[in-house]
Amino acid sequence: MAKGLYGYTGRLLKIDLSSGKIDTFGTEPYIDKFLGGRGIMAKIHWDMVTHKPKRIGAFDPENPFVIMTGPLTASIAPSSGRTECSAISPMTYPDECYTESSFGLHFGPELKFAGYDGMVIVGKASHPVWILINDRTVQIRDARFLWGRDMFDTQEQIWKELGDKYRKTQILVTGPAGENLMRSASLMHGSSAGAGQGGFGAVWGAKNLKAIAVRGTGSVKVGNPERLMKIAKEAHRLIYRPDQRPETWKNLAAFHRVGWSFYQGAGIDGWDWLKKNTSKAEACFGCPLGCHIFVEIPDRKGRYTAGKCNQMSWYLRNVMARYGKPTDVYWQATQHGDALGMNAFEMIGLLPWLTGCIKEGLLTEKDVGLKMADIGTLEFAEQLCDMIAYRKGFGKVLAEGAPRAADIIGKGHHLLPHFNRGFAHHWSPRAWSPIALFWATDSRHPQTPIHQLYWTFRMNVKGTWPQAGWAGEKEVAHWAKELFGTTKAVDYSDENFYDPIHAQTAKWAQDADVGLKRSTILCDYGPFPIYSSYFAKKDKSYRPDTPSPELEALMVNAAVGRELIPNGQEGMKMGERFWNLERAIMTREGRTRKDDKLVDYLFEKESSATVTGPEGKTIKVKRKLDRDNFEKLKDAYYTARGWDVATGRPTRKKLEELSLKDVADQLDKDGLLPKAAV
Amino acid sequence: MLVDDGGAEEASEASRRGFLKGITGAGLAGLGAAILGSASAVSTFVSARPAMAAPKGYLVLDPALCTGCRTCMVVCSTYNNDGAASMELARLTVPRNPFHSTWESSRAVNYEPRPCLQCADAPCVNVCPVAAIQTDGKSGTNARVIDQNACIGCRRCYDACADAYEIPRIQFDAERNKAVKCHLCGGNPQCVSWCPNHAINFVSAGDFKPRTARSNGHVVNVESDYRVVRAEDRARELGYPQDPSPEGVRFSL
Repeated sequence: MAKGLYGYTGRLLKIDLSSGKIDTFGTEPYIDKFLGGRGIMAKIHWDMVTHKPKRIGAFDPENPFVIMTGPLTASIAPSSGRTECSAISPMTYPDECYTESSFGLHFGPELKFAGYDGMVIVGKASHPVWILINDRTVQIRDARFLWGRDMFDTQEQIWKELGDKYRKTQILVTGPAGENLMRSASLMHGSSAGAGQGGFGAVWGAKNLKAIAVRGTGSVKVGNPERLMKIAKEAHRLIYRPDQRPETWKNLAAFHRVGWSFYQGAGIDGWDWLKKNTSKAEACFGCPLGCHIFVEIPDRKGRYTAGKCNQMSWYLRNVMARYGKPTDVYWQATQHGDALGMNAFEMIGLLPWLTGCIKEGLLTEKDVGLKMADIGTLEFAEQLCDMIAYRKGFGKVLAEGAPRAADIIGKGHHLLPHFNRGFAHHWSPRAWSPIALFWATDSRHPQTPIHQLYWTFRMNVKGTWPQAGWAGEKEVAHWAKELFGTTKAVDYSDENFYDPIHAQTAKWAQDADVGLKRSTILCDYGPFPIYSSYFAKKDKSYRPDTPSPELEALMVNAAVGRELIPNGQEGMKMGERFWNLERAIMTREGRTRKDDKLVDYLFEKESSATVTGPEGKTIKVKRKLDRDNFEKLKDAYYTARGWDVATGRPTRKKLEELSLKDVADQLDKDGLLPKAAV
Repeated sequence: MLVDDGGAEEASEASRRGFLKGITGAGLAGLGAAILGSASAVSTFVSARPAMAAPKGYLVLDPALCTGCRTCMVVCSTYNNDGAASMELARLTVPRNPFHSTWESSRAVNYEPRPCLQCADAPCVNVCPVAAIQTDGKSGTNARVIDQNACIGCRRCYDACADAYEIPRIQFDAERNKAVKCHLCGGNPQCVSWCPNHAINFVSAGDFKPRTARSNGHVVNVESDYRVVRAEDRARELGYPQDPSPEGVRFSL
């Protein structure tokens, strides 16, 4: 650790798989402006990838795969166990574009204990390799004995190879799906943490990289341990604070672990199954909640694994349709997909599309090579996963992802349940207007800004979510006023749906998320809402001047031992900087306003939802989106962002305001800066 | 490895043996410590070691509740190492196995903290050549603690613990060349106050009497006693899956 540098190790690793060259460079020049995580990742990517002389694709050796931690990683700050990664994604549709993904458990902290804040991997190995990082010893090792093995097996084999009886080595792997370049193949760590969205498993596959194993015996020092412990303790207390979180919160914690999948899966009650079959929660590094759950059903090889949330649900509807109740098949199908390294979210979109195509006669069973009568059985799921992961038969087409598969067969586009960018549906833009903007403007499935905004405004509100309930309509109205000055900010009634205020809330959530969670790094999913100061506010010692996520800033300052983020507002400004830098990357990739779109069926088919309405009251709505009004909402969003309304590109004025003059100059040189003065 | 003998008499006998062994060992290597310039090593060299007082409390585990988050480890090292978080310097270990899943005794436990058991007649104490490991009478916990000034970094305590328990409870700070171990944080164990799932508890000696077992001539505490499994009730209390009472609107897209 560099002297006087707290919260960081000060070193980043650069590995060129083509030449085998291993190098380090300093973190320090990045810290003040780019903080960590997604901020530094975007900066590294911006500097490395100019798309000149040719556009770089996801499978090109030049595509830099970046792993980053943040200043709070490996500290006592609660839920600081996540690790960010980024690259040009093979999954984004229609073009392969820069995006990020993150995963939990213990990999990032271990990387910091080994002495690195992050790493950049470029090039392509001549044969399958894995990377071993054992403190300062970094090796590129032959992975031919691992190639072809599944996710869980690969990790076991590496532990065996290293003689690591207590599995202290943390391993990130890709599976057969990644090796065979399934476009949405995931990276996985442990049995339940994965970076799925983005398809970085396939990026690894193209690089001939099978695994990264990290063992760190060093330490990471924080600047003001006493203060950090005090604030972190306070955060712990808030998480379990009796007046804010009655027993329902604990139910909610249990519910995160498992329940999602059931509610996602057609509103069935799966508690009996859960009670019978799940045992123990699993948490990421330093997380007080633990949202993964171990399931007491072994896979066919006798392995027990953990899971959570939507990962568990992609086959549930089919199992329900066949057996009328959740059976072991529901879990075993998930395990099988996990083992192969498939992104479960992709399956959530792909399977309905496939069955839809067959139902409408666009594809036949013979084309596909599957017996649709068997759907719902474990054999069917295994056969489907295998053909995709190993690119057998029609699996070759499906491995491209549903939107590209529709392009290949030249039909079935109208059946795609994908909202934008090739990512399957999740959280409806028809119910909440900021979510429409998230989906339209993000580089990927916008899960984390959604969490940022809606864990607060929906999840905890009585009656809008099973088992939620400590907050009520009054609280929602209060928060909205505190944060945005008006209750219209959470009013999603038909009358107020396209109000420009929703562009403000969308910007707020994106900035807070990318600036103070994905870069520090804290989980957006775990003890999420407490990090926003309107929760912490009740405690006078943490009272912020203005409503903004303050607790994150306080923790970062304590960790780095100086005023890196003077207050929450500055943290938001940092988030805005990262968001603009990411937008600049997108701009260089050719993204403009016309790419900020949503899939057609959202404008054509109605959907119902329970949302907050006037004065924070809970209301039911049924609607579809309106194209003209949506375009007007986009106008409001670009205006709120200070971007060019006509092209959706960032302006020089905004970039310079955010200390990104070099970025503005570069865009100017490339002729990508909007001409109109704003 | 461990033979459960359950006898308190054995403990006292072993204690005598350890006492003698400790004296001779201290005689030899205490000299080494004196050469290294540690003043307190000399003082411990001359003091005769009394029979170990029983600790005032023990860290007792509820492995069913451990989620493997290692909050205990990070807080232990942050608190005891001047803000330096490290998995190697944490005075307790949480072995993790992400491919097993249950707390049932029939299967491997995946995550479980392994703290120091404060053995009745701790092998680590007895093998220390400079008698650097003593009971902490000052704080009143009687925890077995390592005098950091006296420690010469010979790692014998580490090995002795590793002989008795699969996972040694003593850590070695390679940077400072000193062994470190749990000292019950002077009576306020941080791992206990921070464990979000209450998997580690500090139980007073009046409420908890561990059995002893023999290991390589030493009398150590029986580890399994420290695992208090109250799975069902406790899990329910802490919000693990339980009977549903979800009232409200189902999720729809």
